[in-house]
Amino acid sequence: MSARIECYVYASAEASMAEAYTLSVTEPGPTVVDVTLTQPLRFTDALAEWQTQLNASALAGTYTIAWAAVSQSVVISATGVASFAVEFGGNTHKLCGFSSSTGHTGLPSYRGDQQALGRFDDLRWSVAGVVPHDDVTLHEYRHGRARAIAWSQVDAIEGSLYCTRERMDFLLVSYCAAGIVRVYPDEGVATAYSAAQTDGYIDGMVLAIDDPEHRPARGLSRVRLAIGLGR
Amino acid sequence: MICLRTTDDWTTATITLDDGGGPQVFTPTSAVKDARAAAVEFAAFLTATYAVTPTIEYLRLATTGATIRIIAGAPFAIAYNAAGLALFGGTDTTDDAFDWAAPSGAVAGVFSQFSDESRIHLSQPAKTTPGVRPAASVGAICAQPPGTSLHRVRAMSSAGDIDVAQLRNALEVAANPRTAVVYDANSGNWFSVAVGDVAVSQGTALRRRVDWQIVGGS
Repeated sequence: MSARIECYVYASAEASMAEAYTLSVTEPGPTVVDVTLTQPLRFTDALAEWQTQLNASALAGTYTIAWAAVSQSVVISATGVASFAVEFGGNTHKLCGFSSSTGHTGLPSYRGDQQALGRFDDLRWSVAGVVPHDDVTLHEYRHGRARAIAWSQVDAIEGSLYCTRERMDFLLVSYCAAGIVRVYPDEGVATAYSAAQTDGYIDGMVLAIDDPEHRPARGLSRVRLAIGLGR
Repeated sequence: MICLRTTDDWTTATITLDDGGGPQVFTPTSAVKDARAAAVEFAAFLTATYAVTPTIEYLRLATTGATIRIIAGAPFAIAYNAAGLALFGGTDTTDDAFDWAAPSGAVAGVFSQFSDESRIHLSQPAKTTPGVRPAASVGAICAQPPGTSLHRVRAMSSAGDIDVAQLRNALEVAANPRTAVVYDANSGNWFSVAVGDVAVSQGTALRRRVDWQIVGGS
């Protein structure tokens, strides 16, 4: 059983933010089309959104933007066109696993050459499950009376995450190190956490990712990961 | 079993019963704020309407977790409205007993550990007579906040993954100030308590320990 963590991309319709999440595709001709994200999306959904926009555009080819688990990066490919060029806006190339935002020309398919910062598969997560994490104030008064006020509605799931040193270095500077993420304690389970699916995925906020520990002798690095999820 | 007072409007739930003589509808009154109170009112409704003497059991079933079972002693056709399904978790359509439970949510606001390996442990270890808080209100209960008796109740339990998930569901709908009634299976009594922190910690590899910070106990 392996774990997966995937980020949510904070795009918006505001011009500079939208530009930061833009893919610019050029077909011979040239025909240039920019596709962008205008709202926050989960990484996988962001790939689908870009793909949908490309295929609805004036481009001649049919495009596929897919996750490649084997390379831990994104593959952008096209059929119906001999070649195309793609350029990434902002830091999107690293989000998708490309070391460079430019230079992707003359081919019908491009595969990221490094670990994508938007999604990490095949992790090992030693975790004790979802536990209450609310903040409750309990006052006791005279005559033995008491009043408890719960100030937050949040649970937490916390544990140790293990992967190779190389991938850990990417993880600690990734889009999964802050903000909202989706964590799959078991990659094979595609339904959400509930009493009926206790190993289901969790959408939550990163509370902490710290105390990295590199253990060359064991071959794996470890980091503490705590996710808070609203009730 | 611990029944938390919830934020739900229990008056929106209905149970339509028919013993062959025509439908009768049970609707909780506005006094109902938790599942235990709903069960008591429902049992009274059965008695008043059908002249049966129902019994109420508070269980933890392996498949459904926390369960309140009302044994009517006579068969009925049963239909819950949408709110009734959400709050009671009832799935029976015809039966002589009513199980309020669901694998994914249980009865609203209810947490139970009644299987052999997972039992809420209740204790009243000593009289509560702190010097600065004279225990003068023996037996007195205020609805909000609750009063206490001379004894303080403590609750702890072991729990599996499903139990912890159902605990989350129960706490999600808990109303503020957070109160609950706690059932003591040994004495058959219910204690009214204020519910503070609910701490879940690792017990064994597959079990968790749940500690309830509760104050009250009348």
